[in-house]
Amino acid sequence: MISKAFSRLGGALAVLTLVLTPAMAEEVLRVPLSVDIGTFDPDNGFEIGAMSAIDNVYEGLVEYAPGSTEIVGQLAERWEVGADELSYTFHLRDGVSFHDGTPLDAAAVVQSFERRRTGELALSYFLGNVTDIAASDPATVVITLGHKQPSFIHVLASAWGPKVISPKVFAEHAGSDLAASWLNEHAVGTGPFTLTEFKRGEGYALKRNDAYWGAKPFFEEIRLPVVPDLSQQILQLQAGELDAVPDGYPVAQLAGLPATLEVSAAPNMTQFQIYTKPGTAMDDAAVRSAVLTAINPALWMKDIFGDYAELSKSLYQNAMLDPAVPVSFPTDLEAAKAAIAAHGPVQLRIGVQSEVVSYARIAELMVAQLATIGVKASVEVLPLGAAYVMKGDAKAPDMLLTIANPDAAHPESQAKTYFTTDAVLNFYGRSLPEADALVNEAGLMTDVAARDALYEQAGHMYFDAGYAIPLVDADDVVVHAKGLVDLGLRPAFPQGNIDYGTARWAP
Amino acid sequence: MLAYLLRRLIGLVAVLLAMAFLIFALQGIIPADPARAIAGVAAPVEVLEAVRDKLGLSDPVPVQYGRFLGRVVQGDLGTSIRTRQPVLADIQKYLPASLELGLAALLIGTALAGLFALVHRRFPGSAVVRLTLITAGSTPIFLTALLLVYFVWFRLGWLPGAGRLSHRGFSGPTGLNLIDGLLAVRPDIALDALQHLLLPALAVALPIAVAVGRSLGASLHEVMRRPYIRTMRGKGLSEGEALWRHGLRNAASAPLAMLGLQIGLMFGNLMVVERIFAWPGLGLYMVQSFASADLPAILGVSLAFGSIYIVANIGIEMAQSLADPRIGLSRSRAGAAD
Repeated sequence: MISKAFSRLGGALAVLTLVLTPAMAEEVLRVPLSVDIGTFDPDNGFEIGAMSAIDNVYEGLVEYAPGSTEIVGQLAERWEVGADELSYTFHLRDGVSFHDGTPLDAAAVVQSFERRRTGELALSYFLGNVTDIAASDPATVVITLGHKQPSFIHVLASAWGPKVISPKVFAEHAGSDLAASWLNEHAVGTGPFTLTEFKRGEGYALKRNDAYWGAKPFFEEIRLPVVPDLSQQILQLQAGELDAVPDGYPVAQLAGLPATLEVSAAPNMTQFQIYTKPGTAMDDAAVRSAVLTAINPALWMKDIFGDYAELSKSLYQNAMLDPAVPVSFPTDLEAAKAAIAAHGPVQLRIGVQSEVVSYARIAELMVAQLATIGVKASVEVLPLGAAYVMKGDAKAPDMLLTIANPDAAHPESQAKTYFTTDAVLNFYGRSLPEADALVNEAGLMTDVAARDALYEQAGHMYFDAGYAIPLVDADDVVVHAKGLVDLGLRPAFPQGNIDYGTARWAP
Repeated sequence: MLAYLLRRLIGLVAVLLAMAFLIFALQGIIPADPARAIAGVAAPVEVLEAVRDKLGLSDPVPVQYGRFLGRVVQGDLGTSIRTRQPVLADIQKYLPASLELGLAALLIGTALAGLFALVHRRFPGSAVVRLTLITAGSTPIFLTALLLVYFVWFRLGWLPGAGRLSHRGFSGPTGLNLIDGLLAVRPDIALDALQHLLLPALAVALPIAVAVGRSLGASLHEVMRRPYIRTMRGKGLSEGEALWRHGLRNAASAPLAMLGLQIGLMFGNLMVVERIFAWPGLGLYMVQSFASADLPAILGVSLAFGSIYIVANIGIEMAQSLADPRIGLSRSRAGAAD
């Protein structure tokens, strides 16, 4: 009798477990971090893998809409640009509160943005052109620029753009460092999730903010374990201990994924490019044309990226600018061979900026292709940071293979970071004043079509002069458990940044 | 003994100073840019310059070295560029995990070394034993770790393949989960910690076991043929008694020296194994610091590992001296082991 009762009880428990377990488990999303979080301070760090966590805890005035480069309101419901194009007026949403219960108002925005532009924090440069931030009333913020900068709204929408922090944080933890010490491992924002666990080296946890002003997130908890090894991530995903591998899953394995997994891919502003050093054989237009023939990405893109990339149309990412006349690579290999033969021996050293597999494979394929036209090329994986100090270095490699991925989806962000004479990452210190002038002119324009035409023209000039060569725009590829949808991937974000606020299990 | 310890202490300080200077000198040669690691790749030049000035990176290396030493004397290892935390606090946070893993690896490694030596002694000319040891000794540590993860965790499900604990939120006074679980009378925690510890510890232990085992095997082989052992046997001492009472102690010197060397190599292996097993220790901290050109962190961990290495080797020298009193803790010997 007793054993029968126990048996029935056991059966009932088993059924209950079956019913309850998936429901409980499905409200927790587990996504690994390959690189541990440096800082959770939205103004003081350049987080890549953990950017999504920060952007789901903190919010800015505007943001990029999922899946596009369109800018939409976030904490600002709407905004206007003044006739002088110097003042930006933002009208804040009603009913927004910080995680500590403090209501959002314009003063809080001003305080946070003033902190960002003190010059004391790493990301202060985002607001370098701002001369004044004021609360004209509790729901309105007016930002004044020093000079016209139509790209400013993109600066605000950038993944690393300024966010709004609770005023209580500054009241209670400001100390002598603008609360940087406290904000390093704590957070109080307005986002759909709150930071509940911060264990360096081990992992982090976010909990759903049930008082969130926007759509209620599906997941109750986000767990972000630190799993630096990709093989370990893949095995944990296949074992069901993780729900996604957000970045770096080997493309060659995507076709043979287990039935429990699937791929979500979206366009991304990760563009592989080549930069060339002045004073090499590449200065000769005939040699350059021959080299372009050999390294034509149409010849090798599929081998490396499968269906998860597209040929770059210009020096600007395809998701950022759709050129009227895409760059083209010569295709006559015989002519290329003849040009090299006529020039005499050509040797090229290709510097690769990272040990990441896709870099190495691209470089190796280019070496093989170049050999077919008689160019002897070799590959060097550059030490960390070496690419940033190549300017004027005679020993620097002849070409640099790197990824261009600017802060924001505005062509100015790309041109002023990589191509212009004063660009921060003008790796070889090259200068083409005529093209720079076009970039500067375009930077003041608000007519997007006319603006993009000028940027495109400048891009062609840099390309034709042999300064930079666009190759491939790689997709954002996330491998995840079947049924995970609405990942909210944004082209302007670094790859693998799932939006925890939109992700959910399909019904 | 006191004079010996004092000499070794002075030696330790000298070695650490030299190590710190070498790392500083390397900083001048390698092109890594900590300022860019902080400010991001797209940060404007003026921001980079401001960060460099703030960190004192524009100063000559000797000036930076002097400043560093001045701070170290006050117990300040600087602030990590990556975590923005005092390096000393970071080391205190990550050290227990590495200590737990390292100690477990040494225990397992030593036990396996003894086993290997006995097998080697039992089957002295066995090609199978030789091949096994050579294979185990020549397999790269990352491959050993990955194979353990793949077969023991992923395929067989016998042991966990990553992390330190399944229980979130548990912490104890020592930071060594296995011991803390026992101290808290939480057998579930202790068992869970042990299960998580076994695979990474085995991966770190295997190279130690092979190196020390081969050394011990060869030493035993030689010692057990000596006349005094034959005399013992002649007096009726069994083979086992001869081995345990006299053989092991007399054969201990060379394997102990090998163990000292292996401790140095173990720190490098910890970096690989902690990365693969997502083990939040100093090795993982070091790997991530390299990727961020985080010089203060790299320096701090190097000094921590260097100190542990030297202290461990002092212990090994003392153990050698105990095993064989002919090996005194003399000035020349102390100097040679530096």
